[in-house]
Amino acid sequence: MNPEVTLRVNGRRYELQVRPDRLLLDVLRDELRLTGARRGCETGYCGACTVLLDGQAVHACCLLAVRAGGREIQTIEGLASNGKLHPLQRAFIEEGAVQCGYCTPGMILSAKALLDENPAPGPEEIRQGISGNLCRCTGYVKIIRAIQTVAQAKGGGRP
Amino acid sequence: MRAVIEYVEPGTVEEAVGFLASHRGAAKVVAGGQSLLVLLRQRLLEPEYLLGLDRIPGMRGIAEGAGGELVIGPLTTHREIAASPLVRKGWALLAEAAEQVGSPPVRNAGTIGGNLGFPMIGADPPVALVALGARISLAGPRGTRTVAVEEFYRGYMESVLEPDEIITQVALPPQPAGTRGTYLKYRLRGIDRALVAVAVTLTPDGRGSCKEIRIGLGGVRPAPVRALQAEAILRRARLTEETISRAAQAAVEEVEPVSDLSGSAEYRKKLVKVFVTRALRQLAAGGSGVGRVHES
Repeated sequence: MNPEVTLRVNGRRYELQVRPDRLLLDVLRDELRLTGARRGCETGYCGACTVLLDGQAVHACCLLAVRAGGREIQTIEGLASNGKLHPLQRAFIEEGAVQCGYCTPGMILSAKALLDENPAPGPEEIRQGISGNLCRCTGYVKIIRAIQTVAQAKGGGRP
Repeated sequence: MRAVIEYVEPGTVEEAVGFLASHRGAAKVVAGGQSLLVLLRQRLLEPEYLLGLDRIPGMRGIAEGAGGELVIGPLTTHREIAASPLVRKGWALLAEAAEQVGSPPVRNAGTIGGNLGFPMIGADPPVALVALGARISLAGPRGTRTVAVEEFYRGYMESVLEPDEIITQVALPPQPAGTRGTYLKYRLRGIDRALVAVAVTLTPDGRGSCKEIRIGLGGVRPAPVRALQAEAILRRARLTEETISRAAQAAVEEVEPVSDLSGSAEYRKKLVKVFVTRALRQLAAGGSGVGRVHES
């Protein structure tokens, strides 16, 4: 019999029966239809599947769903509130930090985890913060700029 | 493909090793899952049971033992080790190595126990653990035992950890007063494991020579090693260009790197010489007491 797991995703509770070897990424995408977390390398390298677990960025492809029970999970779908985009989402659009978009959800969630912990990161700290997320389009310059504009709007952002 | 039948969460170490013993070969321990779950997906491992250790008390956390040693639970994440003021105070080299593991998501989920339990070539923490003289405690149905980290590894992806044993703690002795350390890592991309990693701890004798020195090397043999010949050249000697050069050459002769997509064995040998030399020069110049990482 599959164990019952309570997943708290974007503030909602889901009671699910999941196979013990199911990965959080598969449950999010296939059961909950939250496809913002992308299926990428599935080896913990590319970061396309990044979600926040109790506020920390993790690879959903390298986490058992049963071990995520009772913890707070945030996906890109939970970032906008009342139809209003999160400042990071707006900044990514305004700075042109999105091209094909495949890395974008993970990139934004890693940036959110970074800014929640360190509201005024310098460029090197931003690079470190998104080092678990590969982008094959942009060369990262605009992504880093987008994150910097949000950091500066929060009153930080050392040059 | 065989499906995993059950995720089991024992409440005690005895229960855990009892389960592993009675399901020998069919059960696998999952810590942070950063290596295990990849191997499961690639069908390189097909366990019927997954064993989680989260409910066992004392498996996660960092504390100072009665003898002044640093005691780390196996489920402690790399992030927790890198951020720990206690680790930074007396064993900063380990914090520096933990900070170099993979990327933030890997450090947030990955654990020191999992890193040891799945020995990958070029992993960061074991190299620092070698230089810091760490000991690993293992519990099994026949009781508990403690092994030095350099004796923990057997070869490629192999350790002395039996299928019915679990890692219960990693302990680091207090470092003698004045001990300095450095951790250097060379890799191609920021999130890679090390092509070559060097960790050194050096205790001066107060008269300009080394009282004690330990050199850990990673990425250069199937398992992390201690460069004993290089250490012997430097022990009770002064760090000069001449002794540094001899020690670095000795280190090269102690390694048997593998060739893979990231670099040939010959290239890795050259890197050993360069990075052992750099590490020792840094320490000769004073060093900061913490490690530093070389970016490619």
